[in-house]
Amino acid sequence: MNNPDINLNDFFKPGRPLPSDSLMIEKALEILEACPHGQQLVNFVAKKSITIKITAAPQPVTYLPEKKLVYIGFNRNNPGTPSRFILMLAGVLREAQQEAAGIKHPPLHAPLSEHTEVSMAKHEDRVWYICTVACELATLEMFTEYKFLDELRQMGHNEALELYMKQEREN
Amino acid sequence: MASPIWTRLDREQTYRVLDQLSAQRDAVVFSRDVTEVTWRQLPFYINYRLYRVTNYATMPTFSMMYLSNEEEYIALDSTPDPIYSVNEKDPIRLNEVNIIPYLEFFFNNVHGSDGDVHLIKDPHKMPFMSSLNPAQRQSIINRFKPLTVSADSLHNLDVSGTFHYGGGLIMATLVITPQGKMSFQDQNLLLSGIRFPASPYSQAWLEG
Repeated sequence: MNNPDINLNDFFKPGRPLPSDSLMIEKALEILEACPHGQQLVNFVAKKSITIKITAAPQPVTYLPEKKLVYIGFNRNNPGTPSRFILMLAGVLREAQQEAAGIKHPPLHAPLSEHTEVSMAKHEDRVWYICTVACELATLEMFTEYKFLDELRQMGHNEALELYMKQEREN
Repeated sequence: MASPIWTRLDREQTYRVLDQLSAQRDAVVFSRDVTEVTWRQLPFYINYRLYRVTNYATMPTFSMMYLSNEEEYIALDSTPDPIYSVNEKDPIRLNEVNIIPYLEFFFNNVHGSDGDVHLIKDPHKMPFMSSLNPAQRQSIINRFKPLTVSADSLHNLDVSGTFHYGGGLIMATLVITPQGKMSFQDQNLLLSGIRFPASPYSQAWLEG
């Protein structure tokens, strides 16, 4: 083959082995606890007995089927970085907090305007919270290698992060 | 090829599927009232069908895919193992007509440690083609090799054509055993530096 770096048979090789689900969740909560807004989420998990589960999904995804049950899904062959996992966990836990506070997605038959208004508000709040956690963790020297802000941009939240940081500078 | 046709289950059938799913060990929980279940036939299986379970009460929506014979539901987890397992159970029947649908199904549901393999049937209809610069677009069109299917003396099916993987456009032959296992041979790099944009959520590459 012309380019030894690209080999289609690599596609069939298994990804690197992962730690157990419980260890990944435990470590992620431990890291979240190191920053004020993350600590709030960890307290929420303990106080409300939130169950966190990991599932296999083609793309990184979070899912909240019940108010006390959250899922983080990722491709087991290509799981992404620990920082992505931690930020995804922060996002879905924030969503669980919204549910616990009675801020729920409208029923499916609700008018489109209600869906737009409520769902977008929930999404905005969740993204803002992830930005806060990422910025707080990024200031801690022990987590420099995690590159939380770069990961947040990789997740598609570049514009939200810029807006968040601009607002922080102005305050 | 036209988009696959999905059949939507009614509420009673949906509940039955969700009950069966929830009885499984480590089952993912789906809220009954906001979940839709659809299925479609796969031309290389007789007993198993592809099920898509979607929860609409999340943003973005959350979906899981399963292979099922209506008794067991095998979750597709991005690795080849669930597909290979059903290939044995059904068992799979591959021929020169259904081999391309099998490859599309396989590469749509299996994701490698270094990205996805894309089978390129028509460069003009490639998703993300517009994200490439004009020179790259023209290079792909010029170097594209259409798919050809043939059977070898060992009853394997050989599919030669153009694939995208790891930022490269590669001409190769994919050898598929009668059991549906596959390996690439005779790889030839046509073009490198072809990177498609990544989505923070998901991409429906081949299926509608």
